[in-house]
Amino acid sequence: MVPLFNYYHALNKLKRKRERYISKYDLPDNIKSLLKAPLPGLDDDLFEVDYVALDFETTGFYPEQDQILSVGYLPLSNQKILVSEAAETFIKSSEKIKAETAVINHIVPEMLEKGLPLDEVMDMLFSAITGKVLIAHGCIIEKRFLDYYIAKHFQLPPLPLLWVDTLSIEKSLTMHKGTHKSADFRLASTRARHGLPEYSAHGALIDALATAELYLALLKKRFAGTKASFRHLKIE
Amino acid sequence: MPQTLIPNIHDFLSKIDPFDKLPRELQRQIAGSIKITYLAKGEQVHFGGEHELRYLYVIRTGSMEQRKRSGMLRAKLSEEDLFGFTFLEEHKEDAEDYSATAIESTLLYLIPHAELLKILEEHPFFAEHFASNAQVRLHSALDVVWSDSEKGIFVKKVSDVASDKIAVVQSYTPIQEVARLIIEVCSPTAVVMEEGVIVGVITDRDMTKRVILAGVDIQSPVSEVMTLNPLTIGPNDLVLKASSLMMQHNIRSLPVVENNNVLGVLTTTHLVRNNRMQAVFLIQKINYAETAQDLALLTSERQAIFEALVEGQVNGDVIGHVMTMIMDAYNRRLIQMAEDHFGKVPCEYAWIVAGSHARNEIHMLSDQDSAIILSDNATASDRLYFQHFAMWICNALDACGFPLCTGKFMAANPKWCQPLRVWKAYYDKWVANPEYDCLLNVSVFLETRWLCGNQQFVSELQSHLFADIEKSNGFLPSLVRDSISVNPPLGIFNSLVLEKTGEHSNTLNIKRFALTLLVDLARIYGLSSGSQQTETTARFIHAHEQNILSEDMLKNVLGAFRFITQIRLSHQLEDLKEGREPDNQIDPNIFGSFERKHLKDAFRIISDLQDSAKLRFIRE
Repeated sequence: MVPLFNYYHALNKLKRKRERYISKYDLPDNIKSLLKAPLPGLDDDLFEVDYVALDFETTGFYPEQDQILSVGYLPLSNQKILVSEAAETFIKSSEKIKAETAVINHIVPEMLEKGLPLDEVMDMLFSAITGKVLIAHGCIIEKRFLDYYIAKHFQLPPLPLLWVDTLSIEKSLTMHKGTHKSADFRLASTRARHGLPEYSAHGALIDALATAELYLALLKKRFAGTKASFRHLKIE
Repeated sequence: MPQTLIPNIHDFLSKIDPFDKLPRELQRQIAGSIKITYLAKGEQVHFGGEHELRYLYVIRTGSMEQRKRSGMLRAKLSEEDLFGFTFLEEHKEDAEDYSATAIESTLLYLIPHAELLKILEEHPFFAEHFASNAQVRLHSALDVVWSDSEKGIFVKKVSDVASDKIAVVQSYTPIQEVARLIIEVCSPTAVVMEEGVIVGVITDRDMTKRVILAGVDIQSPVSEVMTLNPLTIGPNDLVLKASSLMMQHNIRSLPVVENNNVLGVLTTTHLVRNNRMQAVFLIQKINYAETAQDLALLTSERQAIFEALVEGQVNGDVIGHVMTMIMDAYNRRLIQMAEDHFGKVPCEYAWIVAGSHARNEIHMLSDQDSAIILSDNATASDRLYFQHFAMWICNALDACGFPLCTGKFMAANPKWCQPLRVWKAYYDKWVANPEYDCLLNVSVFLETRWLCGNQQFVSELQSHLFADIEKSNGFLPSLVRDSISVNPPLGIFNSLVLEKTGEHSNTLNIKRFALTLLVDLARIYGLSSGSQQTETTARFIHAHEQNILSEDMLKNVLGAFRFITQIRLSHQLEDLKEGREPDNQIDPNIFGSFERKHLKDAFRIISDLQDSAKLRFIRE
């Protein structure tokens, strides 16, 4: 019974998916090593796994019509968020960004002019996340834009990466209390519920940091007094 | 890649001491080097072994407490507080001799020690901010920040601080005349006398409230509007006591009075030199504490006060008094809480303290010695009430850092929670058969001091004891015999008396071989001269006044007592600073020649006094 259970666990499904992906497609070197890096085991301690918290600032929700403005990420390992290894890069773009986006993101064309080309930023990102579990708040946006880039650039299907999503963990936690209908799951509101400080500034890196802190807080709450393992964590 | 900035981390750090003293560029460098972690409530910081990096910790949100290995509270920390400074002091081996636990969810910034050292090495000018801060934070708990002048005022005598300007009027003096005097003398308070006795006070505020507002005729006698039975303070009392009284009763001035002579007045203006003073008012905080848990949180402040007093070379007697007042405040507040908790007390009682607490000689090691005297008409169920009551108080005191008495000389022990007649019978038995019953019982309860409840019970019991002693021929001699069975370590520096084995090898127990001997002798001399006083110094002085102790001997003995007390307190301070549990075990090798000489002298004086006591009290 237990082995069968393990077999169908999302993490093991992801492992098999990765193996198929590697054997089926001809991959560039960096993507190959990204996917060849071992995934954590079902019973690995969640606090000892290496993570990267990630946030994209974009002009909208749809990669077909919107663009990535900036990428921010920083590692989390052994319960410590490593600010010294944080990265935030703006993406050089020829297209004009929408005025409303500029207001929301506080990103103005001058900042983007100083940015790096998307390919360069993505290469850096791939190497930074190799061997890491990805953390995002509402990872659907990051996933979508990443997958779109992979498809356009390498003509590959979506990458089988291991994501944990603070938004969906928070949802599963509050669901037990039956209050999720009215709840506000935005990053700032979720953080406030967990007693984390308010960050007035906004940006890809600050949001990635805010997400990493939230992830630690959620893990501590979710696994208080019990062993924290992937077996019992919702993954994406 | 250039270092990426996270403005909110930088903003936070740049506002807190000592980072606010650094130039922006260094702040950025530090902000860029941090690691962030999150502790759930109850979780401890892992200081890690040799292999792990060490950090300076900054609390971003939440709160934490530090405890020493002994469990003693070291500090309570909250947002913007820092800890882990010890690391900056030449890699102290015992730097992690305390634990740090989150008392609520805490977001913690970790600044790598190595990174800070590197920055400070490059910019030695700023190193001082961190070094001095380390001192401050190590040596006293965070909540208590005293400047030296503030520290000083509390251990001064009232007469040193009070003003000698005070209006003294008669009870028949017209109100308007009193007001005129108050203005003329520049005193906010007038003391009202009647036939040479103080009967009341009136303040300028009372004038506004009770005269103008109430529309009283200003030609009426002042006795109509004065406050009856005013609180006063003696010129030799400690300012700490005066301030505590003022806080407790919410009054702004206290007449200074000695033998019905009005000497002056002490007002809050004399005390409140700046608003920081509020922080030191531990006693006020104790009085306002709502729960036993709140009280327990004040331990680190108490310890800081103790440390400041010892460090400031304050006389040991004064330290004992201050620490005793604080313990009294804890004990009284807990008694009030227990009365609320268990409901109205079912019969009359008195809560008494004994041993060093009764002698006003409390220090950081003192445990509890207490008892309850019940009314003789207490029923069995009343006694049950008081057992629960006392148990609750004793346990709460324990949680506040006053350990339970190992000999169980506590009100929580049913044996020491008895009606007055049983107590009288105890004393009869002990005094009649000192050899028969364990003498320790008597010696603890030979010093008792009233703390709460019916004071009459205590004085009645004390008179009974003195009558017993006077009737007995054998009691004092047996106290003396018992006391001189232990001799001071005259050969201390020849390592003759040091503990040979175990944890305390090659150290001397300064309490057992010196202080206790003096306390015992003071008791013998005090009781034999009919002194009702409990303090060691006061007992010797009384004995001298009754001509049973020569002036020369008195001076020597007081000097020895003071010196040994100082050594013990300094030793405890060292222990506390090093994060060890304070004890009485002194290593004689640490002394320089000055101390050695004085210590030898002190031991010799004790030995001489033992001989005199033997001659005087044991007529064999």
